[in-house]
Amino acid sequence: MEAYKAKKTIGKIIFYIAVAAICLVIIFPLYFVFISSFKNMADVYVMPPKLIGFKPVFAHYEYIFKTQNYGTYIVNSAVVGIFSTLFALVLGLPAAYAINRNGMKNSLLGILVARLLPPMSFLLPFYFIFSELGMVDTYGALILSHMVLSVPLIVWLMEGFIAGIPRELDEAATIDGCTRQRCFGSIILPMCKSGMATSTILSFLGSWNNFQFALILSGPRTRTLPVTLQYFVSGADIRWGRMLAATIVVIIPAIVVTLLLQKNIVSGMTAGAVKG
Amino acid sequence: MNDWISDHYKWVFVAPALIFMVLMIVVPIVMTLAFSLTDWNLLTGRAPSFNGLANYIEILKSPDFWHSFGITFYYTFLAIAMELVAGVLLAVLINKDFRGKGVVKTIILLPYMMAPVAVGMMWMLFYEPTSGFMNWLFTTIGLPRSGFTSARGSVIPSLAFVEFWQMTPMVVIVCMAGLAALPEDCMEAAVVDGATPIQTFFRVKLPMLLPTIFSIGLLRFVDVFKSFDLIYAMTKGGPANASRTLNIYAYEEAFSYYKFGLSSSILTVVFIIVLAISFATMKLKNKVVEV
Amino acid sequence: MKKLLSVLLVVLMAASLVFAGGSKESAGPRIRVLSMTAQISDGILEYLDEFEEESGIKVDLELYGEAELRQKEMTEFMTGNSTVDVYLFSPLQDMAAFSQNGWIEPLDEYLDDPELNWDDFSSAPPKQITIPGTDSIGCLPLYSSVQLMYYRTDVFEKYGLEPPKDYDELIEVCKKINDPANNFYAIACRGERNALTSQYSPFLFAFGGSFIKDGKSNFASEGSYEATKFYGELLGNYAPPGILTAGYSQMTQLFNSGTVGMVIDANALYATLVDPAESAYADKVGVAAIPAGPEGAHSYMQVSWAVAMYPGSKNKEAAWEFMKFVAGSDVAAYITPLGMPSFRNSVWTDERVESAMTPDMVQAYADTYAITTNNEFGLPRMTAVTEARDIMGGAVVYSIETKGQGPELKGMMEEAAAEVDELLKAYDEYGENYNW
Repeated sequence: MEAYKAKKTIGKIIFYIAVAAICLVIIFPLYFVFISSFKNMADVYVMPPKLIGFKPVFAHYEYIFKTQNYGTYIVNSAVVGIFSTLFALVLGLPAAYAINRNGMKNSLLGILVARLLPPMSFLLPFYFIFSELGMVDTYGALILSHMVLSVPLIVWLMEGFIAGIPRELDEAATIDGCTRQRCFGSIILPMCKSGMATSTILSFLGSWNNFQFALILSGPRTRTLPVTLQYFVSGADIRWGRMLAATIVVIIPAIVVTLLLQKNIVSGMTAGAVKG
Repeated sequence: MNDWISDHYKWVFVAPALIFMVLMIVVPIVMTLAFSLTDWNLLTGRAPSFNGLANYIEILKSPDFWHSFGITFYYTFLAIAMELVAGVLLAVLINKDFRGKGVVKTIILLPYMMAPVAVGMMWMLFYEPTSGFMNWLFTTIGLPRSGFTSARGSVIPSLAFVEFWQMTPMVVIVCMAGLAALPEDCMEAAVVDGATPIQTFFRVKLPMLLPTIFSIGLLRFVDVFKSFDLIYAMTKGGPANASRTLNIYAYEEAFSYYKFGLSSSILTVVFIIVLAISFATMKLKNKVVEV
Repeated sequence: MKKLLSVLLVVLMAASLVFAGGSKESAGPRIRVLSMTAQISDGILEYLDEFEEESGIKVDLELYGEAELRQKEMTEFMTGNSTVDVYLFSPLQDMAAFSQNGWIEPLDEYLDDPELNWDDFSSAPPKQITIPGTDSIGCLPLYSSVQLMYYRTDVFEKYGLEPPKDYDELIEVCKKINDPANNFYAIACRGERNALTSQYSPFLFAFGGSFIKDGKSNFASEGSYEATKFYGELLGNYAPPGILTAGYSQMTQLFNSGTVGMVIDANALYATLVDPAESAYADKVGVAAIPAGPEGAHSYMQVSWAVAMYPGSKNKEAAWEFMKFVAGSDVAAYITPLGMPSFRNSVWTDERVESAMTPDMVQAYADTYAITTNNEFGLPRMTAVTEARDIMGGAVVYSIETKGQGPELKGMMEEAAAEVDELLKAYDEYGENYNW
C-alpha cells in the first residue's frame, strides 16, 4: 500500500511538472511581449532578456490610446463576434443534428464548401454585393461575412459531437410522443454542452481575430481590433513598441470575453438541463 | 404545427443553414470561376475578355506554381502532424480533475486568442537571427544558430512551428470535448483490467477519439492549406520565394502583378485541391470509423 | 418550445438593431479619405481639426498599413462602387495601373489655385506624377525618398574613421569594424528579394549598369554584373546572417539593436533611428550622403507617396480643399524633419524645419539633391515593374548567398534579363516600342 501511494505521488509530481512545462512554453512568448511593451525597444534586444525588475515605460500605451479609439473597436469586435456566433449557432445546431441523424452527407459538404474556398475569393464579390446593398461599414456586413466561416465550423464540429450521442435516446423520446424539436432542445443539446461550449468559443475567437473580411468590409464606424494592429506597420517603419502594446490591448478583451463565455455557457446550459 | 415541424424536421432544420450558405457563396464561386477564364489584368486597362483555359495552362506549365504547390503541402503536413500529435496528447493529459484545471485550460487557449497578424509579428521578433530571443536560446543551450525565417532551408519549419504554437489549442479543446463525451465505463473497465496508462491510451482512448481527430484534422487541414495572414505577416513569401504558398502566390499575382484573371485560376485550383482532399478524407473517415 | 421562441424573438430584435445602417449628421460637405499610417498621418492628424474648422468640411480619415491600404483601394476601385474621395498612394508603384483603369482624376485645372502655389513643387520629378501617355498631372507629391548612409558615430570614433566617400573606403571601413565573433556586423542593406531593388539601384548605376537600356533589359551587361557581384560581396561578407529577409523594418531593428555599424537605406528610416524610445543608440546616429562607385553616386529621387482624387468623388471641390491641406506647408513642415522631406522648396526655410533638424542631416540632403543621375526612379521603368523586380531580385539574392562568388551568377542574370525582355514584349514596350 505504501509503495502504491508513493508511486501515485510521484506520478502526480511528474504530471504537474509536465503541465507546468507546457504552460511555460505557451506563456513565455506572451510574457515576453507583455514586458517588452513596457520597455524601450533598445532594451528588448538585450539578451538575456530582463524579465523582472526593470523600470516600466508607458510611452507606447500613451501613443496607441491617443491615436486609436480602442473603446469603440472593442465594442465593434464584441458585437460582431457575439452576434455572428449567436446566429451561426441558431442556424448551425439544428442543421448539425438533422444532418447527423439522417446521414445527409451532401448537405454537410454543401455547408462546408464555404470553409474550403480561399478567403481571397470572397473579397471582391463581398465588397461588390455589400456596397450595392449600402451595407459596407455596417455591423450587418461584418456579421454575415463572419458567419460564412462560423456556420460551417459549428455544423462540422457539432455533427461529430452529436454522432457520439446514441440514437436510441431520440427513438425512445419520439415513441413517448415527444416532437423532434423538443427532443433536440431538451435531450440532445444538454448532452453535448461541452461540444457546444467548444464550438462557441472557437467560432467567437475566429470572428474576433478575422482580418481579411474586416479589412475590406469595415470602415471608421465598425473597425474591429485586428485591423488596428496593422496601424503600426507602415511603409516607412514598424514601431515595435507600439505594435507590442497594441497586441496586449487586443488580447486582453479576448481573454475576458472568452472567460465570460465559458462560464456563462456552461452554467447556463447546466441550469437549462436541470429545469428542462 | 408542432407535428408538422416534427415530421419534416429533416429539412426544417437543415434548410436555413444550407440556404444561407449557398446564398453567401454562390456569387464568390461564380465570380472567381468566371474571372479565372478571362485575361483580366489591370495594367492593360482593357475590360477583361474571355480566354478559355489559357490561365490554367499557364499556371500548370509554370515551375513557380509547382514550387508553391510543393511547399504548401510541406507546410501543411508539418503543421498538422505537430498539431494533431501534440493536441491529442495534451488533451488526454489534462483530461482529468486536478487542481488548477481551469487556469491551465485558459492558458492553453491563450495563443488561439491572438490575431494571426500579431502572432506573426511577435515571432518575427523572436526569430530575428542576430538579436532575437530564439538564437540566444539556441546558443545558450548549445545548439547552432539558425536563420529561421530568413534562410531558405529553415523558413517553412519555422513558419509551421508558429502555426503549431498558435493553433494547437484548437485541437486540444475539441479533443477534450470529444473525451468528455466518451462513456466513462470503458475507461474504468480498462483500468480495472490492469492496463497501463499507455495501453489505455492506444487501445481505448485513441480509437474512441478517432472520429473527433478526423473532424478536427480535416478542419485544420482546410485552414492551414489556405493559411495567409500568418505567412504574409512574417515573410511575405520570402526569402526569395521559399515560403510562397499557393495562397500567397495567388495574392501576389493579383495585388502585386495586377493579374486578377490568373490569380483567380490559382484560387480555383486551390479550391479544387482542398475540396478533393476533404472529400477523400470524409470517405476515409466513414470507412475507418464504421469498422 | 416557448423558450426557443423567446430566444428567437430576442435574436430578431437584436438583428434589426444591428443591421440598421448609420444615420447622417451635419450639413457641411463630408469626404472620405484613405491614407497610410505613420508620420504622414501623424502630420495630417496634427492639423486636421484646424482644417475642419476653417473649411467646414468633415473628413472621414481611414488609416491603414501600406499593404492593406493598397489591397483596400484596389478592391474598392475594381468594383466601381467606391465612396472614396481622396486617397494616398505610391505613384511609382501604382500610377500606371490606377490611371489605366480611370481611378485617377487629372488635376490640371486645379493646379492654378493660388493657395496651392504649384511653383513651390519645382523639385518634384515631373515624370513620376504625370499620368502615363498624357501631359496631365495626376497627383500632388507629398514627400521624396532618397538613399542615405547612417552610421554609428561612437563606433566610427573608436576606430578613428570618417564616413566613406567611395566604395574602396566603404570596404576598408567594413573590414575594420566587422566583428561577427561579438555579434557585431559592419553593414546592413536590404536583402529581401522584392524590397531590395530600389536600395540596390544606386549600386547598379554606380558601376555603370542600369535596369533597362534602349527598351531592352540591361541587367546582363558588364556594369550590372559588377554591381551585383559587389552587392553580394558587401552583404555576404559584412552583413548579419539574417540579411536575406531584411526589408525596411529589419534595417531599423538591426541598427537599433546595435548589431550593425552602418545602414544604407531610405531617408524614411531616420525618424525611428533617432527615437530614444526605439533605440539605445538614438544619440549616436550619423548621417551622410551615400558613397560613390566607379561611375559616381546615384541615389534615387522618388516621389514616394502622393495624394490623388478619385474620379467617382461626388464632392470634388471639398476633395481638392483637403488635398491642398495635405500637400500644404503645415503638414510639410511636420513631416520633413521626420525623414520624409516635402517637395516644397519653401520647407527648407521654414523655421519649424530649421530648428528641428541636425546640421549633418541637412548637409546630407543638400549633397544628395546635388547629384545628377538617371536613376531618378530607382526602379525598372516598365509596366510589369513588380514582376521584373522579383525576377532581378532573385539573382541579387543568389549573389548575396554566395558572397558574390557564385559561379552561376552570370547565367542567372542573363536568364533574368531574358525574362524581363519577355515582360517588356508582353506589354508591347520592347525595343523601339519602349515609351517610358
